[in-house]
Order: sequence, then structure tokens, then C-alpha cells
Amino acid sequence: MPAPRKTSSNTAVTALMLLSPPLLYPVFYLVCLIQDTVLGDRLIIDHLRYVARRDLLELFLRDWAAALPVSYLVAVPVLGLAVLIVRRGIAGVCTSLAVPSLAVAAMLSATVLDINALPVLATSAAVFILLPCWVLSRC
Amino acid sequence: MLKRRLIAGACLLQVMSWNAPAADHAWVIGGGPFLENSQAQIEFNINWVLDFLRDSDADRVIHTYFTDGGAPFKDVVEWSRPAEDPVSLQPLARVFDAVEENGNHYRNSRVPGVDGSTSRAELLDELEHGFSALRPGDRALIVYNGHGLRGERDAGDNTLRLWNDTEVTAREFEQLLDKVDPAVPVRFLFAQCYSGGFSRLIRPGGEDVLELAPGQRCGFMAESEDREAEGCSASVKIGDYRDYTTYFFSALSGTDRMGRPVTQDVDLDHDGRLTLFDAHLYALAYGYNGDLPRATSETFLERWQPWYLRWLDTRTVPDNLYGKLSRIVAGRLGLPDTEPDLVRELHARKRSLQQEMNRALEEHDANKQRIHELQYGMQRDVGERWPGALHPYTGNHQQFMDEHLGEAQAFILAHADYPELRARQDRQMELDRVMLKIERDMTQLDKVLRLRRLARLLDQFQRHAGEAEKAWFRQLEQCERSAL
Repeated sequence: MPAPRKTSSNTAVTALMLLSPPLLYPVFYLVCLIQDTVLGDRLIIDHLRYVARRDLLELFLRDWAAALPVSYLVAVPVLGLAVLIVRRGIAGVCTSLAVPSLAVAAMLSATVLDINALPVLATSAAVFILLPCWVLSRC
Repeated sequence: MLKRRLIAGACLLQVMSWNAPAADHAWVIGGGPFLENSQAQIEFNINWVLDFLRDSDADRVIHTYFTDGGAPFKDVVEWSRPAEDPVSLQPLARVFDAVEENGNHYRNSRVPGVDGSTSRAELLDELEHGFSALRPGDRALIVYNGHGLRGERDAGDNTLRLWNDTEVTAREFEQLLDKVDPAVPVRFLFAQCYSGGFSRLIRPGGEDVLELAPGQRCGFMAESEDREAEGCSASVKIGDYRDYTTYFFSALSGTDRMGRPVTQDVDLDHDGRLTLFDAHLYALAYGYNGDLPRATSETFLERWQPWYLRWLDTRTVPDNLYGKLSRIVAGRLGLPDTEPDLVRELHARKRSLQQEMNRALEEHDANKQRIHELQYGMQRDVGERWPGALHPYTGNHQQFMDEHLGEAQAFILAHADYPELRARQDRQMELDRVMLKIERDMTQLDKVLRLRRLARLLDQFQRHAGEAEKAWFRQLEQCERSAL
């Protein structure tokens, strides 16, 4: 097993492992917002414009809290895998994680959720994988 | 001997109560919290509902609670435009900011067969007693038509505003429903502002949980937990009042409040029966007012929806009951029937209505400011000549009214600012009507969006909900889809 490239990278990776999962839901929400605004009924924008913004914020926070355990369950193995492979090069990590993640997203949307969920899930997965990869590449 | 007879009599009474035939009970509760807020339009609605409930089933047991419970005092206010002449004191009222109050006419309510007051202590006591007396085989219907407030803590604290300015929260009402035998179906209809909070009556303790309270409870609410209902708009004063109750009972009775026949198909779920749920769907599809009503089965779906499904897909509209209904409403509004034109046009209309509303609000505020300036100047001019005019509830004022009223009103009518004051005050009332119409038009567009969302929600529920959740939903559906 080759040694880590930099001593600071271990700290960065640990921080990434702890801090990335909470970002999963906001990333997912952002992609949903874009899809809803561009292709959907514009419910979120409508809510922001005409209804109490506090209610939307409360809903967001409640959903975020509900999503947190799942986010850690999903993100920790994925990022753990990244830590193991990171020493072999960032491009490899991205490829080895992005491809299966996108495949899982596609499978989830096609079988478990809904085929209409594919764009949101695939984009969320891609963003969520590319973001840590970018951070890791800077360490 | 006497003791034996008493025991035998008590046993006989007990047996009679066991053998009492099952009955439909209806609790009709209404009116405002105090005279100034107890509009005749509410009384009009209550009387219409009572007439229909009596006519549709002569055996139905009706319990009526209205304002002061039939006390011989004035408890209803009716507004009509006063004549523009000195006899009605309208010139004086315009200058002294009492133009609205000058049109009020106070009288005793005319609700027949009132059983008691809606004052909190009395009503809670009566309801507790009545609910405890229900037996298996009975059915209960609760109809509330009046005002409501939003709770400070959460929707479980949303209240009914009761007589003597008292209140009862959704949580407290839920505790009352615990007195009902679980075998007795309880259906309810709440038409007040923030009535969505009362969808918590189906949940244990009135808490924000998914599970259902014991028993069979379901209901219909005029609005969400955070929106005002039509009853809080200017319509409740200006005589153009048509709230959720109006449309709900129109569907059930076949005629509207004015006696005109309902021409649309009322069996919107096409199950061949006329149920409370049909009446709700009719109000959603054809009601032209400011209410965006909801059934407990719908709030259940909203509460169930998990975070990962909430915003996942807001594009498709499944071809289920709500999807079909959304197309009916969209068609009635003349929206395009193809995507994405429908959503684009809908939002364009909403934006345009919002701009109209903003303009009306701006004009309303500016007008109000100018009215106050004009009133202040004219009050000063009147006060310089007749100081007693400025001090109501005093001997000076009495003297002014007795000796100088005619003179003062002639002075007001001849005042250079009076024509502008009158025009601006009339415009202010016109703006109330304009804003009411905009609000009603906005609500129609919101209905389309809500129905499309419910269509997706129902579809998601059918595909993803667990067995326990589906069983709860079926229980609600069964209760809502019962005949009156």
C-alpha cells in the first residue's frame, strides 16, 4: 500500500467524510429546484413567491434532517472507497465511483422510484461524486 | 318497595337506551366571537345548512349552537350601504372615520331551534355530553361556520373563535372526539380561516403524526392551516359571500343557496353514489371563491410523502381522479390542454394577477393615507366651530348633536374637500371588491397546481406506501366516501 501523497490529505479526507453527507440533500434539492423550475410545475418558486417562505424553510430543514441518516449511509461507503482509491489517482476515483453511482441512480429511478426521477437522481449523484473528487484533487 | 321500583325503572331505562334506534346526529355550530364580527352572512349559511339537514332526513337529530344561544340580545351584524344624506349621518360618519360602522345594522339572530351558546365553557360541556351519548350504529356530523385564528405554536393550536371572544383549539377539540365511541363514524366540516389545522382531529392528541386516532374520523376543511378563508375577506360584509360550505352543501342538496339547480355532474369520482367526498370534489372543481379546500385523506397523503419523493417529479400528471379534476378546472379557466403550455400560461396569469394585486394594494395604501389627511383637516375645521363634535360620550357632544348637527353636516357637505373624501372612500370599497376578485382568480389557478400535485401524490402513495399506511388511507377514504 503506497503512502499518502501529503500528510494534510488525511485530515482533508476525514473532514470530507464527515462534512460531505450533509450536503447530499441540498445538492438533491438544488437539482430538484432546477428541474421543477425549467420542466415542472414551478412549485418551489411559486411557494417562494406567493406563500410563507418560513414554511418552505421549515419543510426544507425537516426533510434535510430526515435525509441525514440516509446521506451518511450512502456517502460514507462511497467516500471510504474514494479514500482507498485516491492514492491511485483522482481520475480513477471519479471514473470508478461516478459510473456505478450513476448506474445505481438509474436503477433506483427505473425500478424503485419512477423513470421521471432519472434526471434528478443522476444529476445529484454526478454532482455529489464530482464535488468530493474536486476537493480531493486539491489536497 | 320504593327502592325495588326505582331499580326496576333504572333497568328499564338502561334497556331502552340499549335498544334506542341508531340515529344520525348533526352538530351545527356557528356565528362570530362578538357582535361586530358576527356577520349575517354566517347566519344565512347556517340557516341554509340547517334547512337542508332537516329536509334531507326528518329523523336526523340536530344540535344547534349559535353565538349567544338564543339570548334576547343583538348578536348579528348586517351591513348595507347608508343613504348619502344628512338623515343617515353619512357626511359626519365620512369625516369621523365611521363610514363602515354607519352601515351596520344590529339585530338578534334568527336561527331556529338553537340548543345553546358557542361560548367556550358551555359549548365544550354540551359537546362532551352529546359525544359521550353516541352509541354504535349512530353517525356524527359536525359543521362549523364562523371565524378562526392561527395558533402561535403550531397548527394544532389553530382555533375556532367562539362567542364572548373565547376560543377552542384543534387539540382541545380532538380530546372531545375521544369521548365518541370508536364504532361511531365522525365526519366534520370546518369552513373558518386556517381550518386546515383541524385536519389534526384525525390524529392522536392532535399531534403532527401520520398515524390515525382510534375510531373513524374524517373531515373537510375550507383552507390550509396557514391561509385565510373566504370568510375573512371583504365578501363576508359586502354580501357576496360564498364559502366552502356554500359549494359543499350545494352539491349535496342539488341547489345552491339561492335555490338555483346545480347543473354540473356532482358524482365526480364516478362511483354512482353521492357522498361527502363528491361534495368536496365539487367545491374544488366548480367553487369560484377564495378557498382552496382539502380533505383529511389529502392531508394524510401530504403528511405521508417522504423527503426523497417531495420534489422529485413535478412534471407528470397521472391520469387518476385528481389528474382528471385538474383538467376539468384547467378547462374551466380556459388554460391550454397541452404541456408545457398549460404551466407556462398558468404562471403568466398568476404573475399578471399578482401585479394587479400589488397595484391595487399600493392604491389602497395611498388612498388610505390621503383619506386620513382629508379627515384630519375636516375634523379640525369642524372642531374649530363646534368643539363638542370632537368629544364623543360627553355632554358637549350631546349638546352638539342636539343643537348643531344639521348646521355641521351642511358645513361638511359644502366643504371644498368633501367631494374628494367621498370619492376616495368609495374607491376604497371598490378596491376591496377588486382585490377579492383577484384573490378568487388566483385561487382558481392554485387549484390546478394543487390538483396536479395531489394526482402525483396519490400515484406515489399507491406505489410506495406500506401496508399499514394504505390501511389508514382506506379507512379515511371509507369514512369520507359515506353519504350525508
